[in-house]
Amino acid sequence: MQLGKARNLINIRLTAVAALNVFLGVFIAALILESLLRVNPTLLLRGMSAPAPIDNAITEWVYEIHRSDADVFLWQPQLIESIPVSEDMLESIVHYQTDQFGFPNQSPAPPEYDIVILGRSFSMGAQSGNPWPERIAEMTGLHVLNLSQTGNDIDTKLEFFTRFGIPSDPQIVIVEVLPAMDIIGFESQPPLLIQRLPPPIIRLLTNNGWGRSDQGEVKPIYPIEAQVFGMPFQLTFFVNYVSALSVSPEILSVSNSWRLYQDALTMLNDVADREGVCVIFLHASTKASTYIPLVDDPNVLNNIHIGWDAWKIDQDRNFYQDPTARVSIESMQRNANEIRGFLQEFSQRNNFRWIDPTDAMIERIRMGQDPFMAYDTHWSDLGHEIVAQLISAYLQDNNCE
Amino acid sequence: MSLHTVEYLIFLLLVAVIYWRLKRSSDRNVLLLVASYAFYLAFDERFAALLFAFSLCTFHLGNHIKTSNRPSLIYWSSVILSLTTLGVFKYYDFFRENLNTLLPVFGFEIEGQIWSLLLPVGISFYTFQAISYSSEIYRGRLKPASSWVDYCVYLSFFPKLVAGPLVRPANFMRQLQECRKRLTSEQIKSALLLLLLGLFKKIVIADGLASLADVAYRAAANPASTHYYASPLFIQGFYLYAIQIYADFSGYTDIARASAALLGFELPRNFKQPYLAITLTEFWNRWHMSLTQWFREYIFFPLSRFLIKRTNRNHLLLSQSFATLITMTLIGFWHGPAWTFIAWGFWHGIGIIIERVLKIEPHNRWGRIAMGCITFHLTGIGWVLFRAGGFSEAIRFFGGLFRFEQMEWLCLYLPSILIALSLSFFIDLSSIIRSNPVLNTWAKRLRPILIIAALILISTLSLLEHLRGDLIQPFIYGQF
Repeated sequence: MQLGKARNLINIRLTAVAALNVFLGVFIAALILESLLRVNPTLLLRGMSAPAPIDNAITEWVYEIHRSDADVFLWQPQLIESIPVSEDMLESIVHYQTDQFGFPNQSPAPPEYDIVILGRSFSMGAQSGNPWPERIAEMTGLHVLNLSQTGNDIDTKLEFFTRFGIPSDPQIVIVEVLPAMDIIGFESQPPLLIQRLPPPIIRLLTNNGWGRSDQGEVKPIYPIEAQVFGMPFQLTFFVNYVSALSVSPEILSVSNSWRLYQDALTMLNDVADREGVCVIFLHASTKASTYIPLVDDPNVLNNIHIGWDAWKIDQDRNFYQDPTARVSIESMQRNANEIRGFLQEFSQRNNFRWIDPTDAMIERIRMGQDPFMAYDTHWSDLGHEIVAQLISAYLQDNNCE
Repeated sequence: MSLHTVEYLIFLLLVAVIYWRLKRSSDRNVLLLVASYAFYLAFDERFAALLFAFSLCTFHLGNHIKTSNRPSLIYWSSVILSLTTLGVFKYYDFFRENLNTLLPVFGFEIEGQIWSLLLPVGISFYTFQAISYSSEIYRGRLKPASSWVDYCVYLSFFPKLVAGPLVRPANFMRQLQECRKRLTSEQIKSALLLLLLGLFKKIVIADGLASLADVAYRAAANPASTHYYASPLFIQGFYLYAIQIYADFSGYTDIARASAALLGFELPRNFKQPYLAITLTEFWNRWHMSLTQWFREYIFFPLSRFLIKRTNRNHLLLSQSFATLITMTLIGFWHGPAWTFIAWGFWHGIGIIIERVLKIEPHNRWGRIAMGCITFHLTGIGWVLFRAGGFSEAIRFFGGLFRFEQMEWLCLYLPSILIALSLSFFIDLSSIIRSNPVLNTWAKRLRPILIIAALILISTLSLLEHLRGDLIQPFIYGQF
């Protein structure tokens, strides 16, 4: 009896020691891993919100972008018809350089800059041979420090601004605002990088887009042939940007995401104000938000519901995606325009400087030109040119102090 | 197939399982030969063909040294064959380029093309092993190998094929010939721990952290501009490369020694906390020990004996200094066909001579600490020469380091240096602790925790590397 008790006690002790060892082992590993990821963000995964760029510092690549290269950015390539070789045209030749921190700038860099840019992939210049930040530098002769990285949320933009932007003593900061990614579904990132790791790891392991593993075989729906201003266009949309059009300004304005985003935007504006830096917000027009309202016959867009779920807000005003909800094409067209108006109004109310290139892009579309890449989600060279011209003109016409 | 990949670990496991199922030592040696060539074929089949042909030639020459009427002729033929093989594949282009530049100065014109030959993996190591073999036979310290299989395994044994350590032929041949007993659980445990330590050094410290040093060298490779890079970038590069090369190479050696141990072999230690050395002489007794031993045995001792004899012992210090300088410069040149490697060896040679002339031997603790710091920084300066792609790059690196430009960024670069230094220091310290019985008891209690932490870190970083689609980072010494 006593022997049995003693054995039990020993077993309990051994189990407790083993559990303690495992706990301490995991704790030490987490501590070291967090430190490693902090000091070397190149260990992280592309598209993650990181404390510094994920790209290697001081590197240079020259590569060609064909239409088929867009698939990697679409995250649901099964929705796109395979591109025939004859149509797989060269869209741009990218000369990509990174500075000593891994940001998309030439190096070595001047110690001080005139303009700092905080953006996501649009401003980073993804897939473009001559992105708008480089064009601004050429057009104005000002030193431009581009602190954009794919996947940067507003908190990271603020972090980059304080860590890398302010020491460069800029006069102007231009902040990209991409409602589809920055605001809708926006929530503050967990403080630890190891907490941010599981979602992208799971996504990459399943290799099936943002957590949509139950979708099975999907018939390709893109490109969609549509008439815009009476002209034929082949349209391919990125599902996240399409799903963002399910949100009306009424829903957005009461959501927690919008509240958090407003706070972060105001904080960034305040920090810049304190440093005497002029802030300009740049609306990142997406292909979906630009083209969908322009399509002459909405019926041709009936299939674009495939591959995404509509956004709703719950009782706690948090966004969630509802697979059962349906949003009409007309509502999406309306939302695309109204959200733009809503953001513009918000900027005016808060005396923020706001630049929206959508109208200028629509003008070019009316002329039969395309400011977006054929299959990619990003602006084409024309799109970057439009944005650069608008900003350059704004800087000339407005006293940004 | 790099030693820190899953493929290699599976390969090692398979070889070990089959190996211990075989009873006869000759069968085991055949298996080792097949496994080693399979391992080498994974790099390039041409490399394997070259190694095989080279092995057969040097085996036959070696075996004829003692039976021939003119042993010295056979011996030197074997040495020349080894050096020619190394010279053609590794140094031909270097000599050709330099001759192409130099000869026109003296009015000579030569027509010669650069061959741009692919450098066979591990050639610097196996040719030196072949030289050891013939030298030991010639000196009467070793009997020729009884079979070509044994000799081929001696040259191609896969754990040490890519980057050593260089083994003493007599020692390795003895291990090949004796019937290796089944491993005890203690031996397996200690081999697996060494394997884990090696993987940790390579994946976590060298690749995960210290590889940040590359940025500084990329900056130094950029030609002059109107703007400068921040000096803290070079400070980071200076310290992290010292850590990177140590973690990378000692990590490789640990994996190699552990792999050999799992097959019942004992490979020599290559490192003994080199950055704790208080002089450059001591550093070389702790760094890449098997190579230092090789050069001491086959270059330094014969050369210094010769010089001392020639000078009738009148210039003992001078003779030894000259022999040191030649040996260290050759060590530098062995690493690669570049003037920067020669300069690196020369730098160390000069340092060792100065130490000998000044008889630097600190006696108190603070003196030792100060000397340790100075030695670490002197080796660091050497590493800049070692790592830089050319003298202009090294000069730009030193320029960036000592310009003290944009020092406000130091806080951004300092954490990586501190973490890398702490991890390396902790690993070195743990090796010292083992000799203290009280501390060792504590270390044993902490061991399971550290094993769990190391396993999590290694697997997470490997997974992230795989998901990023990055190329596997090769071992630095695998390129020599």
